[in-house]
Amino acid sequence: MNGFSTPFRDERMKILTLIILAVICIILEILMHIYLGVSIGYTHFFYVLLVLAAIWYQKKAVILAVFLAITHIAVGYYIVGESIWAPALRGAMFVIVTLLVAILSEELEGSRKQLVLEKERLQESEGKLKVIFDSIQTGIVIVEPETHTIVDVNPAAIQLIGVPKDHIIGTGCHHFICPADTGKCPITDLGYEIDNAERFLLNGKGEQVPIIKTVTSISINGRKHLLESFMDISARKRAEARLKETNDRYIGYIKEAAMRLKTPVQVVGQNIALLGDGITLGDFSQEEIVSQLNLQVLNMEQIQQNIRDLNETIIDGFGEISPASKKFLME
Amino acid sequence: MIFSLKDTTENELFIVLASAANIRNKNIEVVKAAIENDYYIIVVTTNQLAGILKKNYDKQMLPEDKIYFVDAVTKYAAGTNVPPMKNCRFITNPGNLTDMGIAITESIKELEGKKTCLLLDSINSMLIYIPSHNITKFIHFVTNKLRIHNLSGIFLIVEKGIAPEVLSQLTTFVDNVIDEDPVPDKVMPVSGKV
Repeated sequence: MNGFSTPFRDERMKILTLIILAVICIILEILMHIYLGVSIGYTHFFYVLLVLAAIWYQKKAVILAVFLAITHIAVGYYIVGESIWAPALRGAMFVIVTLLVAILSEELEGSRKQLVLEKERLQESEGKLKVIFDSIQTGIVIVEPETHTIVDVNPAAIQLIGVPKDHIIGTGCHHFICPADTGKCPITDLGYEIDNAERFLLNGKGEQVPIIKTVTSISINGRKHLLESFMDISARKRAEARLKETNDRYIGYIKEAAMRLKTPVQVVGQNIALLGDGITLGDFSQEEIVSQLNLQVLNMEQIQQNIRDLNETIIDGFGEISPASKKFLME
Repeated sequence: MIFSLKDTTENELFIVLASAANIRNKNIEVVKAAIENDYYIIVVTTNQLAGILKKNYDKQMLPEDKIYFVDAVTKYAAGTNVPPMKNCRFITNPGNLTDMGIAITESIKELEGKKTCLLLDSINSMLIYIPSHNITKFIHFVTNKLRIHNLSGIFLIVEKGIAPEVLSQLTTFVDNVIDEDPVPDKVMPVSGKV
């Protein structure tokens, strides 16, 4: 029951006020009704007491209204000798007005309590959102879509951009989070959707940082804003580049191996077959046969050496081979 | 398909692709076609001994005075006490590109003023001794030399034996690529008709 501000926040002050008003009402009843014989007019003052009592104590004030009504009727009927109907009507009005004000006051109080609860919940929710906004590892930037001005930024985004918050807020989004030129905003000007798209962020040093980004439209205080959330994927990109480099090297080794092992073995095989045919036909002298066989043996030895050389290159290129495997590949 | 130089202009450089089974026959075809078109031919061999090649050419009645050899394998296989051979320069190791380059240069000088064609047999057998990137450099060196001297050149390659990237690099050094054996492992007969 804190509907009014000072001085009625204090409970004792309320009771004191009501007692003073009640005393005044009784004095008025004695003075005006008993001594002066005036039965109307002064009773309007009773409403001050009853309305205040109804606002502060709701339906409990009806007891006070009933007491005042009975007092007023009793004085009029027994002491002044009036008809019972006029004081009874006034007394009934005391009770009705008090009850109505009490009901309204209760409803008002209920609404007020509801509002307080809503406010608390909202504050709690805002607090939670603020904690999330401040501690989440995803960069969040809120952009005003008409001017493309950054209106808020979270610590993760600040860290990624590498510029103090006050230098980011108020600047155009194309300075940091979107390299597109002014007037060519992919969302507002070109109508694109950005959902988990790979883009670049420009940090304070002017470097491009690879990010994965999503842009969504949100409403803040009834106004449309763009919420841009992004994650640094530099590490992933570096890993991908390393993987690609490794793959390229592997493929390079495989191709070199195919060229220096597979086809030469075919050529040697073909040469030996032709030598065999030549021997059968008696085409070659003893010396020529020996020389040709010797050449094919040397070719095979060189192919074996090529295998060792390629193994060595692979081992040098990839440091994750056990010593036992290294020995096996090199021998 | 029989290799022909009839429809080609002089001083052109070719890559000729042949199957592994047909590469030896292709050598003879190319030499025959060159001689029939009045070329002197320098055969750079890293695959067969010059003596064996000469025997094959003799069988085909090809004039030996028009055929010159740069032989990278005979001394390598038979040792250094190989008797000298007419119109033949021996080098001791097929992996020695410097010596091979010198021998080619000397042969070109020897045939200066004559209509000459160089045949390199084969890039695949060179790959036994030399990494692909060095071969690419060497072929670039040889093609430059041939172009400077306005000579023709033919480089034999076993089809499907060279990585596409290396082949496309080699292709940039020549004027034409002739795929002689589109059907793999199909042995073509040697014919005197061009």
